[in-house]
Amino acid sequence: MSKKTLTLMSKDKQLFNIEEHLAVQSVTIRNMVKEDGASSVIPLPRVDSETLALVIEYLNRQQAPEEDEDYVKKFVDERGEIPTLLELAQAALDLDIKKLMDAACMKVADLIKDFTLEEVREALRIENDRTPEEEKAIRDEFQWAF
Amino acid sequence: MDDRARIIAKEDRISNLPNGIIHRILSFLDMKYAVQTSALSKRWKHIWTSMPHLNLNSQTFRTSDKFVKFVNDALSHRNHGLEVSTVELSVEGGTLHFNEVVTSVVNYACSRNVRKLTIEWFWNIKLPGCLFSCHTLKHLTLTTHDDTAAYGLSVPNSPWDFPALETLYLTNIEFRQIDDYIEYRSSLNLFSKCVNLKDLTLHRCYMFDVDIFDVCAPQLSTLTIMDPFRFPKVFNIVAPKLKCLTASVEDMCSNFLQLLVEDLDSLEKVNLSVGPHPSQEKRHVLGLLDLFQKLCSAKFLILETCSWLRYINFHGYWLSSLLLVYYNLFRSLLSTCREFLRKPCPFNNLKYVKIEKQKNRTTKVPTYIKNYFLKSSPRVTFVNDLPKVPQKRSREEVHEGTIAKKVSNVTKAQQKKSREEVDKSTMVEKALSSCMDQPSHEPPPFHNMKCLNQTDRIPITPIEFRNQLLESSPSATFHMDLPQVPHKRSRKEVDKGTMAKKGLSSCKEQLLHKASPSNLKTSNQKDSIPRTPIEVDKSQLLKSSPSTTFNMDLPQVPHKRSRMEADNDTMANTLDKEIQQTKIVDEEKRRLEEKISMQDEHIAEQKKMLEAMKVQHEKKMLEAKIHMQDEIIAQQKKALLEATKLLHENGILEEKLQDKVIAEQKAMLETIRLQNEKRMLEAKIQRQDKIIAEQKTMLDGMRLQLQHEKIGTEPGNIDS
Repeated sequence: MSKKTLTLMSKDKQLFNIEEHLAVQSVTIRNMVKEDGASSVIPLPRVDSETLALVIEYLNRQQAPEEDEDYVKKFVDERGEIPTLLELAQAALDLDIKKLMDAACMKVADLIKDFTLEEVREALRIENDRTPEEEKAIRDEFQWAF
Repeated sequence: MDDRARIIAKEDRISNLPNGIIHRILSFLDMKYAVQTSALSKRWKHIWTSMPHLNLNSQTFRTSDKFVKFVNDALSHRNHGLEVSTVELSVEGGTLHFNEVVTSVVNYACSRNVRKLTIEWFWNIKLPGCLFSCHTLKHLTLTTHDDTAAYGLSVPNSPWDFPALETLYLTNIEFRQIDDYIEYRSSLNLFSKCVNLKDLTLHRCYMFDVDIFDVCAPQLSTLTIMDPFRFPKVFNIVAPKLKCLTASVEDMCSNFLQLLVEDLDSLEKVNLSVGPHPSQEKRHVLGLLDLFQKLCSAKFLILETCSWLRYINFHGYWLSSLLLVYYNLFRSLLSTCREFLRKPCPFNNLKYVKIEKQKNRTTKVPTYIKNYFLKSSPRVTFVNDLPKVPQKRSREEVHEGTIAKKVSNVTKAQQKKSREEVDKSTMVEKALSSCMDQPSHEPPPFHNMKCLNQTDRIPITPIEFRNQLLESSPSATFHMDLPQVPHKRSRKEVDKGTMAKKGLSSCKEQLLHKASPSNLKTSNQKDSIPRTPIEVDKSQLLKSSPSTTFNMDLPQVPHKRSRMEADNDTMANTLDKEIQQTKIVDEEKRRLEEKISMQDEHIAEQKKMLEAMKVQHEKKMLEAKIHMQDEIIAQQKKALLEATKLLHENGILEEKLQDKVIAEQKAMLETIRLQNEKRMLEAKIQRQDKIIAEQKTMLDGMRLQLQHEKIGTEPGNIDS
């Protein structure tokens, strides 16, 4: 039995090939394969090509089960920038690859755990849409957590 | 522009992170931090209220009161329609308020279908009764970090109602039979309603006056009973799917682990932590034997040191049960240990035995202890601390197994023949049987052994032991650690087998039918010393194991031997001729002796010639030196003359003349001294010449004498 190859297409129309038995680590892809045999190209309209390349690299890993956890940890450690990690986490969420999503989110949590709110806003590109008065009101409302 | 657009798109995507991602990120952070994110932006105000993972830790608050208020407020602000998947609660530092917190958190979690609940505490707390009837809970961990505070924690003593529970991890929990005033029935059966329980850990448990602690769980596959403070009198384990049992064999009160087991057919791995207790070793050994018998269906056995005993150094002993047995031998508990080792090992399906060694100890596992396991589990491998070894081995074993089969098929025919040979050597057999140990007479119980690996440093499996194994497992091969070796050997063996057979049969004929001369006897004895053991082995083994093969450590040695034997054979065939030809040989010897003496003389002459040559050479060298020195003197004279001429020209007359005279005198003195040296050397040369001449004459005289002697001996020869 020859190994079947699937083709994934990123948001910017780039094509990536991956062997089916590796691709089905993604629950999303597994379900698509089950449903229609995944005959042609699988479009991933929310994943850009850079991120998809990372996902493919992750799916192609050849680690022994007992080393896999360390590998995944190292894999996200090496992409230590928050924007990349968040893209990766979103792609993993879309494709339903729990291990990768958990690892990416954990890394982000680790990076931001000592940040001030202002630093978190910057890191996660959050616009503060409150006036100083409104913000003070919120802090008062949740003063038991500050 | 494209790049910029892409960056903007990316930033938008990040700022619009789905709640799933945000919840997951927050789940790795403390709940307090999660609530604070509500100040980030309007959108974030309510994100935390729907997160399914609560992480509550009293240590993030300065006072316990603040923590209590936080928990109450946070729970009341949450989105009440949503379920909670995971709750982690950690309360450290003691206050009675924490009972309130624990109760409200547990109630909240249970009412929202929690699936994973972890409670850690430091101070004595009371767990609400509703916890123990949570039908959605899949994973429950109850841990206290304080060893002393746990006692008195009330856990219900009626069966816990966790129909979905899969993992239960309990640390420092006291189990107590309270209802005994109604009917003295001191048994606890807590897990019978946990029909999906797969993994149960009782860590540092304390069984207060519990006679029987039932572990009855139909789906249980992993049971861990580690570092107990106090065992019940008996653990009654009814777990037909139990695969892995890890247990300490002794509690802090020196009670030994007592098991009552029913159909542990699925049992694969047994890991026993052993803590030797010097005063109770005999009981210990018997207890261990009892455990072995009850867990006999296991395929993996790991024996290691009990973790809390690792801190105590018992006289530097190797803290393993088997070494305990070993030391017991020396502590006059011989009867127990013999009993222990003489009874067949109850494990009949073991694949690996891992025996932990104490650090910095190189003591090997004694062979007889290995034999104990090997008797009933022929495929057992003794594993050191390497975790990957078992996996690799098992692959190799498969390979080796097939090779062993092949070899056994190939060699069967040969061995039928060699049986007949064996009968002839009954003498040797008798000698062997007298040397064999008692256990060798009892055939080992297994009959289907394929291969045996030993990973220790004992280079060769002891022969008696091999014999024993091979009696009932004829196709066994003995492998050392290197995976390639068995393959090579098994191939060579085939060749060797035939070679050795030829050699053997020819030698036997020689021994039986021919009175060999003295020379030959000695040469045969040399051979027979190493060869006899092989025959002995074969005779012993082949009786019951027709397809036995044997490996020596050095594959080349048997091969060479068989060749030598073949040579001996031809020697024997030509022996009679040799006896007839002895006279001729003697004559030849004499002639040879003469030749040797002649050659000796030649050598002596040549030596003398050489010496003479040397002397001449030295003489030449000395002459050349003298010549050189003469030349130097002449040059110096010239230089002096020139110098004087220069001085004259410069007009410095009288003083310089005197200087010149002195210089000339000096030069004269130099030349005289050199001439003297020259004369001395010449005299030496003449003396050496004389010596050479004398030696030459001596040589001539000796030559004449030798000639005379030759003439004298030759007629004598003819006469004799």
